[in-house]
Amino acid sequence: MRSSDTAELLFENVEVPAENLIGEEGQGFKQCMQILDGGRIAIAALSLGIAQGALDASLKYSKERKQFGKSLSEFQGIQFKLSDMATEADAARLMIYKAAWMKDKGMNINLSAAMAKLYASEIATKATNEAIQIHGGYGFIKDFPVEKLYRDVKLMTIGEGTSEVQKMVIARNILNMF
Amino acid sequence: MDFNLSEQELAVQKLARDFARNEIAPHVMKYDESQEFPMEIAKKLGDIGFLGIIFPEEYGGSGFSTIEYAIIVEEISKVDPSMGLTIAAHNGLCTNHIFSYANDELKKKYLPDLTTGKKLGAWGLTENVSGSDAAGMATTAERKNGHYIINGSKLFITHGNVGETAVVTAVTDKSKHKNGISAFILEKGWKGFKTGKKKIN
Repeated sequence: MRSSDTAELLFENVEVPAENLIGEEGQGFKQCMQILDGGRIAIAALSLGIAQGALDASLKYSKERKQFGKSLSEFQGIQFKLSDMATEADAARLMIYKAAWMKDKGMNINLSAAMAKLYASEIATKATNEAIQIHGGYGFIKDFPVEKLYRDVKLMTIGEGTSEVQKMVIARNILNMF
Repeated sequence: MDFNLSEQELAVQKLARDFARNEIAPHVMKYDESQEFPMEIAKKLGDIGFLGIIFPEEYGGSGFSTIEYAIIVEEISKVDPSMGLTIAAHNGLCTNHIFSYANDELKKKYLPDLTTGKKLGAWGLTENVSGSDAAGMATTAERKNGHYIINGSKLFITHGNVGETAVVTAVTDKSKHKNGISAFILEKGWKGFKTGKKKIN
């Protein structure tokens, strides 16, 4: 995320017109929590993009690269990695579409968005790790896209609620339902 | 139940995929190396409606569904996660906060510039003292003569420098803890509102 513009905001006696209050006084935190529910669908989708990008690059590379007289994609050890990456990306996509569908129906997405964000960010982290492994030394240099995906993915398990925060949200929901 | 993408969803997917391939892919590593924000790509995102994805046309938005939003973010992030983050933070946090909770006057004033990408949005919740414990923030807003006086800071804010419209939370009544926090719209350039240097990673 090196080209992303991440910075500190500093306020020193900033005069804000009273009409720029959003909603009513005291509602800000509750508003933010609901905004983050929707935000988590986007971070899950971002994670999925990284996971799919890592898979696409790995499929391409494993077909091109030859070792021991055959392409990497012919080795079962590599095939199993690709299979896991594809299965997990598909599962994440279904969870994201479900949460998005629920949001469009006006349903409460506190649980489904947290689950989608937790799962997609974790499998994306894993996928980029495996993608580097498949690429070997080439995965570690900037000639192939997986190097950047591996660097960028780590924000996904942290921003807009860490994986641990998602688990707190999920636990609160499932314990209340039971 | 139907697991097929609709014709429109497929068209949106193709639009995002083509944009990522043609407008982003050739420049990804240049911006990654320089750590410079790709403002010209962000402007183009605005031109094709990707900075107002989930907002109705009456506010300048594209009127897409949340599923279409997810499809766009996935396609862009496959090629450049940083641009995916610009779309996510601008649409989902700043702009959506104003769209979901501000009164109509504020929506009319601020949304069209955001949804068309004329201005980028930032959203400030996290502080140096409050991350996962978001309600533990220290920034305050004190009401005085028709204004709120805001003091404090926000950390790790996407579009901290390039964002011209910011939604910021501050404590208006400390005794009420999380029910004493309020959200405000701030404009870049207002006296006393400064930004720190871009965080290098």
